[in-house]
Amino acid sequence: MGVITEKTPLPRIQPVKFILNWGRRYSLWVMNFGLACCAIEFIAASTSKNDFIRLGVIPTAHGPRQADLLVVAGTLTDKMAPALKRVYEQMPDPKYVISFGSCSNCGGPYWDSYSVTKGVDQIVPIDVYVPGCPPRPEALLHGIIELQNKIKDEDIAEKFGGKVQPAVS
Amino acid sequence: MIDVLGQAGTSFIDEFSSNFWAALILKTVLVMGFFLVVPLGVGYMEHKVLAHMQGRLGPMEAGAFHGWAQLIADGVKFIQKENVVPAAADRTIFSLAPAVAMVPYIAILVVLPFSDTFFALDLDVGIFFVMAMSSVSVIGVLMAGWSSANKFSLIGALRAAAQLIAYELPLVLAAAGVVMLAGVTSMIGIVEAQESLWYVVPLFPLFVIFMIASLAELTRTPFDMPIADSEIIFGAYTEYGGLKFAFFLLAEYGGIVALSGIAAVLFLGGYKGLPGIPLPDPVWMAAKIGALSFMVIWLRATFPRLREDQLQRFAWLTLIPVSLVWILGAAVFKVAF
Amino acid sequence: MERFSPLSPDEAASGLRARFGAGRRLSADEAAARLRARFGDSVLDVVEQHGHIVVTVTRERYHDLCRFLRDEPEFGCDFADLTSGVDWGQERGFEVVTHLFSTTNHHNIRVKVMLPHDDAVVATVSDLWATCDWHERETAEMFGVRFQGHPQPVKLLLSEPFEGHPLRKDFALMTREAKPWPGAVEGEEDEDE
Repeated sequence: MGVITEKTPLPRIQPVKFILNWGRRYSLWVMNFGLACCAIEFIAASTSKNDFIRLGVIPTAHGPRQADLLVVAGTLTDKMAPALKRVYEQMPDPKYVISFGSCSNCGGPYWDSYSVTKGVDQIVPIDVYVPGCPPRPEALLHGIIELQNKIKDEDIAEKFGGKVQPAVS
Repeated sequence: MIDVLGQAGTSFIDEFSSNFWAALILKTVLVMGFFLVVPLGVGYMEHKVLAHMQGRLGPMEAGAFHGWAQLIADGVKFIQKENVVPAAADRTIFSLAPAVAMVPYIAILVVLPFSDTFFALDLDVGIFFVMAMSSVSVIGVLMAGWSSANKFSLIGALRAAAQLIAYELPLVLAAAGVVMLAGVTSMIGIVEAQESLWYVVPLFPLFVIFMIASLAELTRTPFDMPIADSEIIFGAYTEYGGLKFAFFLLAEYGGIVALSGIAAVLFLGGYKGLPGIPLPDPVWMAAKIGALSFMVIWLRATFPRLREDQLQRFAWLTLIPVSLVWILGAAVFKVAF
Repeated sequence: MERFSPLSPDEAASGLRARFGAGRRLSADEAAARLRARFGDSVLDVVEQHGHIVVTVTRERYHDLCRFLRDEPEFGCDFADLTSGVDWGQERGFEVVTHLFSTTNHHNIRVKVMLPHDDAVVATVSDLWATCDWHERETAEMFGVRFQGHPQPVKLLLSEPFEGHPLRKDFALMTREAKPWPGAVEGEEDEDE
């Protein structure tokens, strides 16, 4: 995870930690893993009226390799689950995941279906759950602010200390 | 001023210190500092200009006042990212590609003059050097695409290479028209030759062609088919994340600044100001670079992208014939009058 | 390909069918007469539902009937909309439904085949319309109906380790077994209200 965080003890020094957290907080490049209707609400949150670029969440991540934030928006089926896992593993650390909408939180209105994964947290670790069916764009903005507050108090050296993720192509 | 044309000028740094090594280190620091700061400003301008043209606000949170530190936050974030190299990729070439794409634009900044004493180096072959360096970045794209071990990266790299080679010719021909009228290839010489009349007036089509060709050189909209994510994810740069990806972005914005600077020198009279307005020369140069960068960003907000065959057709069947005809006209004008 | 030209008021009044010349819609009776003349007793029933002609045919002549519907100019069903199934239970068996449309005659024809529950095999029509390839794969995995002659009878939508046929009436929905439906059910009114 970058020379500074992996190889040096710098991230443990308080001012350096503050700056590193500040950078990660205000520069969340987002990849929209849009599966269903919640993807449309995500897109609505990127339009002029509820602009999430204000918060530093830039949707210019062309693919998982350039993204820090993965927003899983919509119903995840069992057949799609390996693809989600693969995309998550392709993102470089440090990365965050927001589960957007009730289908990805817990299966949502399709909780009794034979083909729906009931909760994306069975596949990837989630940082923020945004409830709603679909959540309003303002709810996504609130979720992003919650994530930013969470990052503010994060200790990145402790979170990734000693653990080196193998690069999956 | 006639005897200044064709002679290398002395940079203010050379007057500051006569020791070769001290001057070299100072010039390097200045050029690198410029390269690391000004493209970030252009990147921030892009966020804000695109945002306001699209009726929204753009970054507001990073840095307390209107998100001025957004690009700095991006930089701090990219430093912390994991260095991912695909298992099947060619490691050395994969790691070198961002450097090969970025360094030519730093080299171009070395010869960019901000006044007749405010520059790093005034080469006799200034414009020739600039054209040569801008062709080197094509190799960076090809290296990136080939070494990524990804079919889509390879297709994107080949598209980008075809586009960059096609638009290299209008770029060079437009510059050749200017060199013909100026009579010298040194950058300061070209600026001094525009003392009475900026070349944008007699050579206006060549100015337009130069701007279009530099947009295509940087794979900026409307020529961004090789890197657009609705086309080919990110083209040659698909597998790049973290700091290497940040270098590609820096190369793009640095390229905008560098090529805007060159266009300002060639056509807009460089650091020469309009008569009557008493501003120092570097401010004029910065204003021109800013205006041209704004134009580049404005074009991104406005136009859809050209398809690969459309942009090739545009280069070979429109830009090159027009530039050739105009150079012919300029040559006739120079000999006759 | 004929070039598109603006409509005159008369053409607009009579619709696109008049312009493109070919065919006219068949009524259910005309269709019944023609099909019975060709296939006799294999055509079990022909009715009209919602403006569509619905033909029920035996399993043996299903493929021949579909080919006739496609190739015969008066029917001209060149567009297959879908192939799906209905599970009517153990006694009645499965019903495979293929919905066809004619782009020249502008009529819809639905073809139904009843299959016994424990011997749900029928000929494929994917050699007549390429789109039925995928529709039949879905019907096969959801109902357990086997399509004879299908070029690639593998799962389409369900994930690989899935066992069972979900759209059968006797398929146990494990989530509902683990946790009963928490909301109101149609027919059981809330007694407190």
